Amino acid sequence: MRLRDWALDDRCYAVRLGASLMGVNLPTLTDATALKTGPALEIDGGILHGPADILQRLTSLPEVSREWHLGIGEERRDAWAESALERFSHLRQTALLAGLPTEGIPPQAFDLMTEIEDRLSDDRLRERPWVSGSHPGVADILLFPIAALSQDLEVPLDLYPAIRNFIRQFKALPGFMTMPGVPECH
Amino acid sequence: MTNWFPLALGMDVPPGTAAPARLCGKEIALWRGADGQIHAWEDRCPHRGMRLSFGFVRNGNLACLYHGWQFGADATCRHIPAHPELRVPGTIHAHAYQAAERAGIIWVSLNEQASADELPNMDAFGARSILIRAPLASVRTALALPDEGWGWQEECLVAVHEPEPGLTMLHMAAATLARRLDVADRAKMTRDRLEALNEKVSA
Repeated sequence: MRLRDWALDDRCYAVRLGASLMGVNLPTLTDATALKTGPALEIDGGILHGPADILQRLTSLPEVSREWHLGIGEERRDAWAESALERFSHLRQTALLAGLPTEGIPPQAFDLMTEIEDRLSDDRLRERPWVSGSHPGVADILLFPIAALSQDLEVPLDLYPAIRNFIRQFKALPGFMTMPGVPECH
Repeated sequence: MTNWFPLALGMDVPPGTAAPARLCGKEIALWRGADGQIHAWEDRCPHRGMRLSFGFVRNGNLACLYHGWQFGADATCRHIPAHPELRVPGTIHAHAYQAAERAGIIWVSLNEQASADELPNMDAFGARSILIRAPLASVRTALALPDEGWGWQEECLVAVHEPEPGLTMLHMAAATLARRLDVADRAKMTRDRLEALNEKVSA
């Protein structure tokens, strides 16, 4: 098993982060195509694409705790979280490659952050501690890079208290790992 | 002219954490020690200008993320890790503002003489702080709020502040814990209505 990875790509980070949190030893191979097409997992003689599918595959490995599976009756939000990460990844690449001066924060960045903030805020009032339910899951891992790297879009986090709370809570998880732009929790 | 500005819900700055806030572009660090006391300081370390809201709370002090200078609840510098033996002069301190917590909301005054009597005196429970992409003046008018920027409406405290021109934060607190979800839904509906209205005006 090996991950075709690009260290600075947010979708690749989601997979590395997930593997670290689940306690999976995941060797990586730096592959520039991952910057365009996202992470790819070489496994069982085949190749798996897409951060959600890869993370779900990792949860089924024998060494991974059952806690990473959804609880009974819990709504699966992986598809929504993956779509949010894809949109963010596109916005972030555009922002990082843009010539200066920029035209400010794109409205789509506010739309995305608002969508995530609404969900996290409602969950908190309903005493649902994680996006995936009572335990962090694939959807939380997919959302974390968006929250933590939103500064690359210059979105001010003082406008999104529930996202700030999610970042703080997530960084305290055992096995949490950083990437450039995502510092450790103190 | 109002003295106090509602900057955040109390629940959004839990004990042992720091959080950023802005008031008309002025950057403010909110932080709370383990004792529950809320503090509001200029978001700038007097050492190298780093944002103190990136820092961390330890032993009742707020420590700057950059070089670890630690500031006590009275805003004076207590410890400089690079000079552990140094007795830090009292002249080194962060810039503190008046901060108070009422009705589930954190209120900050840039005026040292402001009296807390001007603040709401009823209990309430924070439900939602929500961004509205519309100017403060139009939000205040649409919500029929007085100049103070807050008022009680249908068993709920409604308060607004302007992080930067063109953006408004709406803070809503419910009279009872049980009503927080309803109030949070109202906050979302208010945002959607006012943003649609603002787009219509801009178009």
